[in-house]
Amino acid sequence: MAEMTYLEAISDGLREEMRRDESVLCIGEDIGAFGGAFKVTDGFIEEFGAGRVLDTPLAENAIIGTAVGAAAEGLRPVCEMQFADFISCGFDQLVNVAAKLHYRQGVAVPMVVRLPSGGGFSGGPFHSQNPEAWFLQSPGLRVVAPATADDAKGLLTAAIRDPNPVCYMEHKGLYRYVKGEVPEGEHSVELGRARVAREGEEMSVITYGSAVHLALDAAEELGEDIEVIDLRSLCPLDTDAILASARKTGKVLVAHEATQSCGVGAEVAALVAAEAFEDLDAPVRRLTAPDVPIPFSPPLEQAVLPQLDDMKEACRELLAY
Amino acid sequence: MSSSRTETLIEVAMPKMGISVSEGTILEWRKQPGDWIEADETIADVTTDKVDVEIPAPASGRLARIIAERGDTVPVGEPIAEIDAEAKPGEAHPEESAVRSPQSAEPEEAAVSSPQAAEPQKDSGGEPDRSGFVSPVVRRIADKHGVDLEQVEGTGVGGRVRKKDVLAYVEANGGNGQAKPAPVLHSESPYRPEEPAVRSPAEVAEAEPVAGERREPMTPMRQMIAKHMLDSRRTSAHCTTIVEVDMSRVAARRAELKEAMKRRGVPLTYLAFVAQATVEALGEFPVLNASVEGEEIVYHDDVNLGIAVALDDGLIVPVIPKAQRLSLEGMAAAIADVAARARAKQLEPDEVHGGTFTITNPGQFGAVLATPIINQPQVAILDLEAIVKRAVVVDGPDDDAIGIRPMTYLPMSWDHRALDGAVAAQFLSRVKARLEGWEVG
Repeated sequence: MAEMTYLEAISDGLREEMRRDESVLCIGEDIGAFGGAFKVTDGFIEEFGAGRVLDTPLAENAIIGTAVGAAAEGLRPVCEMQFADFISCGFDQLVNVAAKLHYRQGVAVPMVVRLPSGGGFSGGPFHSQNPEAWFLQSPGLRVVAPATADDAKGLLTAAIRDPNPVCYMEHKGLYRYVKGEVPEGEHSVELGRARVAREGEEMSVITYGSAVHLALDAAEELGEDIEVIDLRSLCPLDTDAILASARKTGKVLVAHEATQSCGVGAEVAALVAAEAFEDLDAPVRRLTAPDVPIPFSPPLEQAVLPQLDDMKEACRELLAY
Repeated sequence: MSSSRTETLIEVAMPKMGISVSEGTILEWRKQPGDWIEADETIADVTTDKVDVEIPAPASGRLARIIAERGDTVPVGEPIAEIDAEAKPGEAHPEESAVRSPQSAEPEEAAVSSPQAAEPQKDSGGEPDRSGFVSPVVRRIADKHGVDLEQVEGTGVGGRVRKKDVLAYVEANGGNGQAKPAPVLHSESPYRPEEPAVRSPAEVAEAEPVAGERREPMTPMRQMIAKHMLDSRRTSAHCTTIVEVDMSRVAARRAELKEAMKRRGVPLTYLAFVAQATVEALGEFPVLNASVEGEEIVYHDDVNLGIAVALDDGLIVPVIPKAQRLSLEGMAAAIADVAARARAKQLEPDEVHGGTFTITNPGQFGAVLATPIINQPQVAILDLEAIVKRAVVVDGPDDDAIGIRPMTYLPMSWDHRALDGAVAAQFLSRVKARLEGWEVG
């Protein structure tokens, strides 16, 4: 084990897989000589060469399209979007080609798209979004969103080895904020398995990504018997873990930084309502960003993104119900 | 960027330069102590692991002190210099000093309300009486234990009876007498996937234990296999015919295709070739893709190919429907798929019914000959045995020669009610010819 930041864990996972498997390569803007906008691939071009660390023009459609072709031919490309927001420029290749190729033609597309997402740094509407729900509406894609350094490495490894196209949501706010013990060498975390981040009996916070830390901090500060489920994989969703927790506590808060409508929270709430209705002791609640663009202004941005106080308040309300 | 006022001194802090940046290194000071500086004028250049940034002065004044020297690395938010905002240069406007720091809003100053404004806010005091409202889980627990909810004190919002209230009541009072005495920690919904049926002790505890023996009940799967096998023995007139096959050309073709298919996620096994050859031959010998019903023979249009898959304790035969439509790769993919899902116990019930012909493959475990039992209501089962290099007589350049060839046996058990030995042998010869003549290159 070694202590790493979330960012270092992503780098480490990627490096391990590139060392282990020659078919793994990286594609993105400024990932080679510059080492990536956030330095995830710092030093990669020196170790693996320009043939496996491909700098591209500012053309996300070309990045994803190239990766789809490479994956169909048996390589395992890992694309970097400089910001998750920019995936919109590569959307057609992702949702209509990568996601559908196996369904249409039986061709596996083992590729990963790394998506630095999330706000909290006055990045404004084009550099702060959490667009995971876009991909959940596109069958054929898998979506993961690690919250810890351990999972950042383990889920990336699993995503690279998975035969499906995987959207890997890496929250920029966690890059250097989150540190933890990470297994050295090969480390893979099974896709589709949630993690009980904190056990409790009184209510469940079902969450992922940056909101996991809000939930854990809120539970600690409130000193209440709150269970926190870190979903880790958004597709496939660990319905067993969600329902087990909902049935145990009878009170469910779904929390995420992404906007509310038709998001992961809506999906989890619908699942709980349908399958665990007789175990519910309170309405299923959501804590999310409202359906607005992310503002530049720091006070406005804080008002939009869920904060620790919001999490504590939502927990208090549900506990009191 | 944050700056705070210390008497007349304004602190210049290492600014926050992006979410991923935790520290910066001073590249160059543009001003020296004693220099006059205007608010927002660049005071220093800083480099991070990502970008170079110019730091603007938070206020006008005279640079009083440099805290971080050129080359120093400073965490975000730490002071790097101080500006004396009260200083008055000859031509400067004194009122320009100090508080021109638009970005000085600290997070805690922004009193942020919940973004969940759309959700009704519950006021914990003075809310309407909710003691009559019963949540689904409370109703279920009350019904189960025969609890009169009127008797239960509610501690929830508006006096609502919460799950914990009714559970505490049950624990204290045991419901109305029908209640189960065991304390309930949490009570869960009855809607669950079915668990394996619990066997009654009477079914298994008949025999006295004997030293040197161990008795275990058969699993439900074991019992089903036992029943099906005996039924089949009683139903069909079993015969077994065997051909020997030279797999050289199949091995060569497999070597050609294997890597490319593997890249596409399809493991190409010998079984796939045998399955393909069998399905083709069944088209020519429809009586082997048939069933016996009373005094009629039912011929099936589609080849629904059963593949016997060994499990830890037992056997299951998933069916590949319409196998005649599949290419070799499609066959290989379908076999890999059903086998993997069979082992993971993820087959749908429909996927183990409707087979018209079955292939079993004990050869993967090294067996060389077997006489399998027919999978009812089919009329034949083909068995792929181990592929073993043997010395065999082959056509040499001049005359017969001894060659080393990958050989296997294909035994087939068939139902003498539906067909006779000649047809069985012709069918197997057809399969053999296809495998031995597989196109290569």
